[in-house]
Amino acid sequence: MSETKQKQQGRIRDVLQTEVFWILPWRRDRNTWKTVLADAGLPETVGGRVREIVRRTRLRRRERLEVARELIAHARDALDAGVDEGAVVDSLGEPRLVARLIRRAMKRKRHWLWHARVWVVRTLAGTVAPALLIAGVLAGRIYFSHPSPKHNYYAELNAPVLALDEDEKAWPLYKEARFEIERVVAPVREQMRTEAADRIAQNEHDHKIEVAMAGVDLIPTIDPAHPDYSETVALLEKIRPALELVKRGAARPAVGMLYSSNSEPYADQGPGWIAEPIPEPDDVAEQSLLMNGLLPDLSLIRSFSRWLAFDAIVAAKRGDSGRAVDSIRTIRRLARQLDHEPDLISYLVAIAVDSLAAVTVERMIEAHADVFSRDDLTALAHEISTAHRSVPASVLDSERMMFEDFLQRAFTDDGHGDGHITREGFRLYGSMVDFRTNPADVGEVMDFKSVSDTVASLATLSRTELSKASRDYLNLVRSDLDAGYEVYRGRGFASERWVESNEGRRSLDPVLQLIPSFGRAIDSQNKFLVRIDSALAVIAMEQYRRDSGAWAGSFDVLVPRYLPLAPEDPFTGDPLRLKITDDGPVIYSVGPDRDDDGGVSGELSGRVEWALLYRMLQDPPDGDWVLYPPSVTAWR
Amino acid sequence: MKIERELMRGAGPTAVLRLLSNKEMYGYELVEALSRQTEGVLAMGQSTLYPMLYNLEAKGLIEAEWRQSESGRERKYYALTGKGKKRLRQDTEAWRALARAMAAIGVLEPPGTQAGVVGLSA
Repeated sequence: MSETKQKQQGRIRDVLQTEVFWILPWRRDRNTWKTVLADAGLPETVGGRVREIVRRTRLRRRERLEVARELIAHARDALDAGVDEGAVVDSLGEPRLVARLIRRAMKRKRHWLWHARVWVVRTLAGTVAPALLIAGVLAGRIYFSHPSPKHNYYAELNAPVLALDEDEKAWPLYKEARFEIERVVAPVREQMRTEAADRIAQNEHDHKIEVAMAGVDLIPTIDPAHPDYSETVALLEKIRPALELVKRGAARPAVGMLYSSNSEPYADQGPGWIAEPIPEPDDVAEQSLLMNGLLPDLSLIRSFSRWLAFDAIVAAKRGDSGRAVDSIRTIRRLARQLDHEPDLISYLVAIAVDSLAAVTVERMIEAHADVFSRDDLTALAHEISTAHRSVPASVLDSERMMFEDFLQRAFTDDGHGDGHITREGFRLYGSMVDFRTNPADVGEVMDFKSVSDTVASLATLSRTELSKASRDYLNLVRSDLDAGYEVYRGRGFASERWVESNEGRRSLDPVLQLIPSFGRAIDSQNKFLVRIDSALAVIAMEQYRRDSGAWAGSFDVLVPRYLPLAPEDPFTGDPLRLKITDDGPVIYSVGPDRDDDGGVSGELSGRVEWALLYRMLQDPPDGDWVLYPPSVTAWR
Repeated sequence: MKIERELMRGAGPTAVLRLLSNKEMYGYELVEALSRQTEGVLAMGQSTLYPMLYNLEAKGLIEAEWRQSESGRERKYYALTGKGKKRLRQDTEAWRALARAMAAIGVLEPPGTQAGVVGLSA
């Protein structure tokens, strides 16, 4: 066999003897180093030393056999050459040291696959093991610690309600009113739903079907030309006693409903189910999350305000200005009662109710201006002008309290306001996003990555860090709210920028998921202010017309006698635009594109009430935001 | 004369490569040759030799093969590889430079005045 061929076979043998092929039975040498040593016939002293060295190498079987054969051959050569046993033993060296040197050298000879495996294992051990250790410590810390909530936020929020006398609370009257309205409306709604279902099956579609399928509430039809108008007026007459109850309730200082996550049905029987909040346990640890509190009064007040607005329109049509003004006053009182409610949603409902009052006034003046006396107009202007022009500080305070309540129920308490997340905390968060039971559902309501990022943030951030993040965020929201229309004129939203910045993102994940988005709230507040200013301008225009016999050509002639200031266009800072047509005045904003289209809605038609103005600025649609005459969408 | 371990660590592999550059040799033969040709200066036992051989093998400087000798006994023969030959040339140059440097400062006699660097031969 040639030398080249022998070398090739040797390489193949080397590969076959690597880790990868160890399972092949024929590559295993049947001899063991012990049998080879026993067969060598070396003197006991020499053989013993070889045995000890080979044993101590702790090499693989094949490697030990190789070493044993070589040491035996060497010893035999030495003995044959006349070297005495003692010298041979001495030349073998100290077993432990020699074994270690041989072991180290033999391992260097191993195949590159073995070295690669060692490298991989060591690298993993150097990176994964510390990570696992840290994760283990974190998991243990989370698993074996518990929150200890102490602060009774429910008691704090309910203190004003508990201080009220029974006859100062509107809630008992509202429940009665709702009950009465449902008694009249529920059969009609049911009938509408049945008819709607039949007509949908025949591919028909109109307003009545839309209303029926909206489900929760009937939306009164205000247009006298609408085929359902008479039917709705008939319903209004039937619920008039209930609206009288609402008016009595609205005259009281506050709704007076207890804030709680627990409730029981207000009445066992009846067409409309009303949740009656019952007190939380005194033990803070037994209480539910503050942000789980129920707000059953909101849907009632929203419904009442719609019926009252309809009542005002019907009264104006009939020439009953007193009742029309009274209904507007009642709507405004309903909105004011919500000021005492402890959360953002209540405030948003309050400004929606206030906006409804403003738009209703505009509708009444548009269609029945002559019905109203000068005093009536003054009274309406007074009602509209007393609406809030900024978000009350209590709204942000209560949102902060809700977040702090989550922290106290999710994190440990070291006695100085700090702590770390607990098992109960993750369970609490899990129950809020409900991803434990069905992860597939998470994507529908919340991006799965945001959930996992939030879990990571909760696991790594301390209670004080999250508390500070929530305060920082709410402070920026406050500054955005205080900036008014400036947010549309280059300033933008400081809170949104912080959310989008990489620095803020990590700590904000839990904050933003557990504190409602204020972007829409700020936008709603600004739209509400424009609507209020527009309504006041309409009343002033009507007063001016009566005094001068003609429409005012600009707002300048109205200031200061009829208006303290000209209404401001949120996008430009200039006054809103005023155009006099044959049908009367048109009041409008130039819209997000800041281009005067002569009071034509264009692409903006029907969109302003629902869309976010600051988002529109990124790709502004063409058209003006026509405030007066108000659109149907503005009234709803 | 006993050589310090560090010196031996540097000199031993070069000496072994030099011996193997002439012919294939087995372990005991190498020990004998080193001892005889260096007058015992580079004598080493099995405890030093075999780890050294395995390291040289791992570096690809030598290769080994089990063969039967003329006497019928199985021995593992070591031979220089191409890589080993190259290394030997480099090491030889280095040792010569070292010897010249040592002579220049009087540690070694200048070449020609005495034995100089011991020559190794099979």
